[in-house]
Amino acid sequence: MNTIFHNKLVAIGKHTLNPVGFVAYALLCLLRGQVDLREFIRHLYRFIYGVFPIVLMACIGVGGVVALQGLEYVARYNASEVFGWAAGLSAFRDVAPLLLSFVLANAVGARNTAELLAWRAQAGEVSFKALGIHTFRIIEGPRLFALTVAALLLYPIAVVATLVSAIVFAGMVGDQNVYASFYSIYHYVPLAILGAGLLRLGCFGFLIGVFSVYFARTQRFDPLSVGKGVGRAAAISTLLICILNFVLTALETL
Amino acid sequence: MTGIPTIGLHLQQFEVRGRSDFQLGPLTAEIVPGSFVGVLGAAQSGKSLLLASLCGLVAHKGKKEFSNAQSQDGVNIQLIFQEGGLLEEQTVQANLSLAQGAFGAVDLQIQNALLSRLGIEQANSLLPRELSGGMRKRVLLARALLCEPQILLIDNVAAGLDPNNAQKLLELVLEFKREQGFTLLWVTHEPGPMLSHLDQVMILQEGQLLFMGHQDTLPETEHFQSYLQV
Repeated sequence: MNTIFHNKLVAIGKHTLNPVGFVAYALLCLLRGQVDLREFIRHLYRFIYGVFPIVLMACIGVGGVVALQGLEYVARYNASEVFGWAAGLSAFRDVAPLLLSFVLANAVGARNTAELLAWRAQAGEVSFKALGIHTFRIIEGPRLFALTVAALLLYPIAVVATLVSAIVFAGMVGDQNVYASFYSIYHYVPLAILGAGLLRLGCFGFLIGVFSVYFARTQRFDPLSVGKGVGRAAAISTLLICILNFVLTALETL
Repeated sequence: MTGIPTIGLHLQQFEVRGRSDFQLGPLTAEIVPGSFVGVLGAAQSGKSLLLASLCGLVAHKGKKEFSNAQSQDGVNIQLIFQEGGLLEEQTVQANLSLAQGAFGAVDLQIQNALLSRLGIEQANSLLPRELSGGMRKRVLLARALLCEPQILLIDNVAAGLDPNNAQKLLELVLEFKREQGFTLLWVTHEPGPMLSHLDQVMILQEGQLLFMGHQDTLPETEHFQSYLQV
């Protein structure tokens, strides 16, 4: 029993400290310019292109939920003029960052881990090392930072899709005035909220990038381990996003 | 010949530890500059581990010295794997540029000329998954040759090819070897087609060097001869 507990503790320690070391290494490579720009742009394009329809559909769906829940409070307190403000606040600060990062973690992050593990399984890593190529500069670094930037670039799209969906849906099912809702956002939602949302997305995107690459680097590449690695990358990123979101919200309210 | 000095290799008490406590060596061997060495042995005999350690992918103990080299650290060794590790979402040209760029300026003319000589000029704009097995191996060869190796290590690269394609690949490698003068170590399970071209045979068995020398001097026993007949 003690041995199992000890082994678990060692595993937790390893998976906590190693990613921290990897983050330091990744940032050092970025500062030294050891991230290939061409590869970065290529991955940025394919990550955004690949996930765009899912983000759009998810945001439209969640916008509908925001409308239904918001309309209930509007009806209860007879406060139709604040619907846009409430929807805007939740979309900018919580819904868009969380929803977008969950989609990115599970669609792009998991795919990234799978691609890297498949590349390693086909002797990609060793053959690149044999060629004398810096694998982080060409393979892993561009993907990690492309994921971070993709999250930032998709944020405005996610916000707009969620808000438009919520307001149009509220107008259709709850007779909520569409123009009044948009005006309410413009008038009451502070611009700083947009900055806070971007900051969150930057952190979440980096976190997804780090764990998707970290598990691809550390996992063995037999079929069972590949499955584990992809699953872990998505699950741990999602879990840490929730924790980080709580921490950032707590810091904002201080 | 490209004017790059031909490099030989001297191994003494050379030891490498592999996975699951597998140990290669200690072995002592002399590889003559510009020679063609066939590395033979059953599965799990340490052939791939030997190549990986020679090009510095795996740490080793003992002495590994390059003869004719200006500097022991500056020898250009290229290793071609069976699978090869091409970037699957990049075209052949992009894959070749990546390798060539690591050793100097990217020159598309040189790349095209090389692909043309290898008979795969049409592969330039294709993705690796669009290549046939034989074309893929030639792309791997092109990638290694673009880096102008002084020692070329080939790990069972003809495996999975039909005899005709395997023979063509061997002929191409030998043609470039004659021109560039690199030293060649080729791990294979099918030594038949290359026997007449080999300068030396290296036979490994469970991590130990069983035989090193010209194939004509191989003992006539059934056990030794079986390595040449696989």
